[in-house]
Amino acid sequence: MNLYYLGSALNLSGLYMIAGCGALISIKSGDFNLGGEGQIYLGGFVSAVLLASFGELSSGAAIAAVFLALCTAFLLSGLMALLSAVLKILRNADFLFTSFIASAAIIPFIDGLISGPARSQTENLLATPFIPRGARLPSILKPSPLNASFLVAIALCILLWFILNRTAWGRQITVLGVSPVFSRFAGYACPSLSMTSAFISGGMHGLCGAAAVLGTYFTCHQGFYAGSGWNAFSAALIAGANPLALIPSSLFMGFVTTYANRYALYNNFGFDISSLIQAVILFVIAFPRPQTFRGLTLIHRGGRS
Amino acid sequence: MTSLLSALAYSCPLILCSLGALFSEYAGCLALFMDGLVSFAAFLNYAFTVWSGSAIVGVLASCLLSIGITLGLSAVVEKFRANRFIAAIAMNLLFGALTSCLSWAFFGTRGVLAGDVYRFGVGATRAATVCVTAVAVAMAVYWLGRSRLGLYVRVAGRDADVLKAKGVNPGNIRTLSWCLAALYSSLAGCFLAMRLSSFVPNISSGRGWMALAAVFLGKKKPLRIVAAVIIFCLADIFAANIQNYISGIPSSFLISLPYLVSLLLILVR
Repeated sequence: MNLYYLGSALNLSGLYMIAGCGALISIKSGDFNLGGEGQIYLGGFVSAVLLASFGELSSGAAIAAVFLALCTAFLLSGLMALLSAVLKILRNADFLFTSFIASAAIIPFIDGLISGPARSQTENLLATPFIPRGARLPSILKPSPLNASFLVAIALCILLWFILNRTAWGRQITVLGVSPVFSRFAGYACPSLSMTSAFISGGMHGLCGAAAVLGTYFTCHQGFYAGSGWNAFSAALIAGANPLALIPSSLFMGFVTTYANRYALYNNFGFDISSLIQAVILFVIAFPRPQTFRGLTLIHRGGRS
Repeated sequence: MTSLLSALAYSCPLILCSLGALFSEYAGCLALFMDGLVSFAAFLNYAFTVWSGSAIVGVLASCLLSIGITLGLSAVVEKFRANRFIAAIAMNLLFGALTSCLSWAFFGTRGVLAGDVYRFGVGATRAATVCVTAVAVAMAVYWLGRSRLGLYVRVAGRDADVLKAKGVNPGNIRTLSWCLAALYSSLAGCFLAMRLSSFVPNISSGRGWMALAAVFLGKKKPLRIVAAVIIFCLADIFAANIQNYISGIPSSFLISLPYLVSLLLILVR
């Protein structure tokens, strides 16, 4: 197996895990966040512009700058998703289409900034200036782009599992997703739960964009997000809203996408094959699992259902 | 008068999409695939018109094939009790990818498709678009409000058990609503391509999603939906023309404007 493609697939899987955590939280709370792509783009753009504005950094300053970039990406993308939650609460608007429309609005806006005021003056690319070397996540499997964000992604999945299954907030989110009426009667602060879950969902997508910039591209080029949001959403659906299952499902999506693109590149097929596979996988996910798989899930849960 | 007609013609594809979305919204299975289907139908319209040499054949074949594919997929979804919401998103991606693949396979390019065979007069296209849309709106209003099947569609979304008790299969009604959504969005795609006398990748430019916003803003009333669509389109026309008056505004910023307007309308409605 080619080391470069193996590392690329693992790296992509890590990004899907981070964004998938965001998609999974929204699915758990009963809202489908379809604005993932715009939120990833916003997170990547903000972190790239912020880090590039600092110039070359010492190691201590670089850590602070990276932390600041990650927080800003999380905050802005989170606020973007929060808007949809607010529209849902105030105007009873469907979360799924307001999140998509907000994403559709922000994408050309960022495109315009990248091709205009935020564009690099030194490179011949439709991209922001490169971030300083000190702020870049080093590769852990050279020459591939696999970096520390992969390990962080796995840790985030485990942390999310803990939050959803072992905290009161996680339980309330799960109950809200299963039965909003019951959670209202149980006295949960439903609007607050919806808003926090939307904020975290958007924030995780923003973190995914920032991780892509910090570890893979080192700049924000036009359209770097393409397909990531949908693939992460598919991975979350395959995982069946279980954050631990998100690790293998993201690996599956990452490997399928990477090797489909490789096939397309070597066979002059165009990258549509990746989109086609993505669509077919998502279509298959829509079907209920066969009885044998359900049995295995019950065994895995120790008979609880 | 001419500018009014042109504004009306401009809003026709979105009106058609919104009515398609309305059928599915009433049936309780939102047709989230419409955005991809508009582009797919526009491509099919170009392909069949070029191959047959007749625009009417192009429109009919495009609509029939789009409905056929939607019918097939919907039947499979219904038979195996799949999640319609996820299946619709998958179909949206599938139509987008298929359009690009077929364009490459049959015409050797993923870019703009245009040719001498595929040329339409501006006035004739506008008139045809407005007339067909007017008929489509009238049919949707009548069908949803007065016909038995329209009543079934409205009931399917609210209480499918009532249909079951009456001996009507709600699955068939949901499939019917998706087929109607496919018909209306195919017509929208055909008119978009004919207006430009060419097929342009991503020709729908988010109309399938805007249609859902229009249904929400129009509170599921066809005539209110038409009014919401006209507001969207005026924002779109404003965005397209503002560069004539204020220079230096990047075009990509203006692409955002209709989406921002729809969010603003949802906020203030």
